[in-house]
Amino acid sequence: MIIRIICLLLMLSGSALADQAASSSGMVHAIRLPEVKIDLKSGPGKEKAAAYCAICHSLDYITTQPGFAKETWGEIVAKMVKVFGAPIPQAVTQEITAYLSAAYGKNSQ
Amino acid sequence: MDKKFVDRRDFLKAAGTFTALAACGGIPWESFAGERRMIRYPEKTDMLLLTSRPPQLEMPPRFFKELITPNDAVFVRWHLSNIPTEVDLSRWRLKVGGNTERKIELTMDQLQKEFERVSYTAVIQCSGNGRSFFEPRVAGGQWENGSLGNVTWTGARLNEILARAGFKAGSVEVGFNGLDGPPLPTVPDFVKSLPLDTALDEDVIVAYAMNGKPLTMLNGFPARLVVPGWFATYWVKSLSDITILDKSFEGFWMKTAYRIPDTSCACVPPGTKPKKTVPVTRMNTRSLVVEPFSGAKLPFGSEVEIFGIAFSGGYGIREVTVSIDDGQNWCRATLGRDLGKYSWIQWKYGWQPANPGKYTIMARAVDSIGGSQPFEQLWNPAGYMWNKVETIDVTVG
Repeated sequence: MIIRIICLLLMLSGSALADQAASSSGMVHAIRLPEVKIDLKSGPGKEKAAAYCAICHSLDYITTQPGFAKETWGEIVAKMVKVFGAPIPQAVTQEITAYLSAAYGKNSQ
Repeated sequence: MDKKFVDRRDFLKAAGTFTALAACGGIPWESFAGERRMIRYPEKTDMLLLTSRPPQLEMPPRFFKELITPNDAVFVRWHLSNIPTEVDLSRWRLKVGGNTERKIELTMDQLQKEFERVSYTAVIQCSGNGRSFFEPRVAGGQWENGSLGNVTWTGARLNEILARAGFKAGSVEVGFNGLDGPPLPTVPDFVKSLPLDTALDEDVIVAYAMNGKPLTMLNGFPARLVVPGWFATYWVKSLSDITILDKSFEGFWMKTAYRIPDTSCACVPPGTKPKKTVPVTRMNTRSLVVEPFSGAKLPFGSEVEIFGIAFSGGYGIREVTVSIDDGQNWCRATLGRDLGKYSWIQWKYGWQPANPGKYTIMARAVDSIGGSQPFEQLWNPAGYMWNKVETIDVTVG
């Protein structure tokens, strides 16, 4: 309950918070980025997908994509490894691809 | 204020509250699969969240009503997770080197005082703006129309900065790097290049102000490149290094990413791969219908003001025509105040529906060199340069 109340207060004071998240003192200008929590859909491979993908980017990179066919998800995962050097073992890429196409695939949304 | 527009805004507000509730555990996150959340980042207003790390934030549609986009509403698009969140201006320098007579380093004070102050209004638009409308769908940031804004930029001419460093004979390109960095050493740093003749164009500036104020951190504080007429991929944010090159730059973000089919339409049959590609460069001509929005129910008997914006890749807008019968007949819209060839221009058309019923509104812009918009999508695998004529379906009565 207390958490709910805090959340409500946070919501109501959104603009004040945003102002506090940016500051200028002397010649230094700084911002503080918000924490954004993205939960993936459950399914086998979810934890590995979450752990490996989040090395380089937030998980909304997955959740905001249109439902792709397994082949397309496979190409995307392969690109992360080959082009961007994501340190994902070969067997795990297959697991992640299977998860993505099951949870965020053509027929899953 | 127009009621139907308020409805849209209220909806967005409601969506934001809904999101905040979800963050507190009241509603499962799964509810947002395929939907878009509102979020507030530092120095920004409530924006549509595409991705959070690195941030990609879309401008809410209501800001298309403004001639000038407020700084806190300008879209945000970073490529690499390590984005600058703190800049000490006493240490920041704009460094220019490479194939030059001398290396120079400029402070912000020098940039502002030792070079002529240039100001103009220019559209800033992501190459992938409208990507989510392509069919079949393509991977990447699923922007609707809001990676687009119209800002008055102020800065120093790039060609004067380059002249101070003195580029040597044989220079062909200029490379630009900013303070952002990759999350892993294997991820290519975000570096872009311009052909030398483009870099020397007197309208290309290193901007240190947007709408008269310092750049927001997320829009590239303390300075960014502005290449008016060209897509914003070249407008390198938090600019720190300029390198004159005596050969073509081979980096990933020029040679692999941000490329379009090398065909006359920059398109290929949907779902196919191009044989040859070239870098995306200049923006194509576009118009947007801002009001009414698709699906609107309009009362019969009163005049409907159809309102929108139009812009091109730096050629200005000659005319905008509007159709209310699905493209059979077209009438000229009235153009608003002209802020120059790089700015968007507002247009409006007063329409008195003759009968209640369903109508399809379209708008089509023509720029000063005859460039216009297609009635069918020009599909390409990366989902760039969306500029198809919009169709807005409304019901009257």
